[in-house]
Amino acid sequence: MAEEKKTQEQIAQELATKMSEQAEVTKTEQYLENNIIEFPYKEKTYRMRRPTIREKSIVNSSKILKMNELIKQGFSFQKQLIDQLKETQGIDVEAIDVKIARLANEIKKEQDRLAPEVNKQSREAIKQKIQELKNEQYLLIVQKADYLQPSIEAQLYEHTILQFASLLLEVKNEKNEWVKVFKNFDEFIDCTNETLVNVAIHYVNVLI
Amino acid sequence: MKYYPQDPVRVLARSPYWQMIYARSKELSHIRLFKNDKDFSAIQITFLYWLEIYSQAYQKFAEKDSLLSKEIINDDIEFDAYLYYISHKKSDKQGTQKRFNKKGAIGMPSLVQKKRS
Repeated sequence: MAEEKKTQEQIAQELATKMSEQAEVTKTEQYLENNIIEFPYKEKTYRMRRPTIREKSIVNSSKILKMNELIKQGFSFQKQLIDQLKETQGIDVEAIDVKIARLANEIKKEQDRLAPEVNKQSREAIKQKIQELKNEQYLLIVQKADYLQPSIEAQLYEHTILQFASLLLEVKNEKNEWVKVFKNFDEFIDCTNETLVNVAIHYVNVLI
Repeated sequence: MKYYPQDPVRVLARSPYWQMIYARSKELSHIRLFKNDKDFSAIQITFLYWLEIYSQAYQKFAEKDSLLSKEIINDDIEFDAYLYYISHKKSDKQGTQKRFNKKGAIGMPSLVQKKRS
């Protein structure tokens, strides 16, 4: 009886996963429709679009300025940071890289076993093993990114995304014209509407 | 059987609807996949990549590739394994072919190769 209940729970869990996945598929299909994403927010219509060449150039120039600023402030490039982390905190990022590569090889080996395997039970077991290895690899990638977050490269990547978000987010006004939401980067950075900022960042990642 | 999460872009790319639209768009220029026909977004480029991969997979499935089934095409983990396996086998084959071409059938360097080098 308990086993039957557990199965029902599993079925319910699976159904919930499938439903949320279906919602994700629908959302993705909307993103694919065009290179512009329109979305309603607080009774207004917003949109995120692809950058023009001029906007890309603005972001690139700003990236160079930001890099010089970060160097002046004493931030380190990834390579230097890896050495510093090892020397000062005993954190071995290169060892994490080795582990990530080892896991990638293990995944490939399992994939080589899975493709020609005909036995259903063995296929399931291999699939589960691959999923476990991928999860383990993902955690290490996140851990590595976390350690390297203060690096100039990571800071510049974040700066680029924020710059695009500030430049490309537009709202439809009373005259039905698209106008920029933020006059400049500072206005975006000081924006207290966290939801709108997060949505804008998400859409930049989808489009660019 | 355990259920594994699927990438929504790949779910759409392998769907009969999008595969049909993709095939028709290759034949008929007025059928377009997206509203824009240039300056594609990152997600659209990824989608185009998977449309082609799955189009080739369905082709191979129709040609009765023994390693493929609809279940495999519809499962990211299984399909990734299939893709890796065939690319791996192909590169193995090409490697053997290269070695064969270099040394010739009896393991001796061929005259053509010798002249070139």
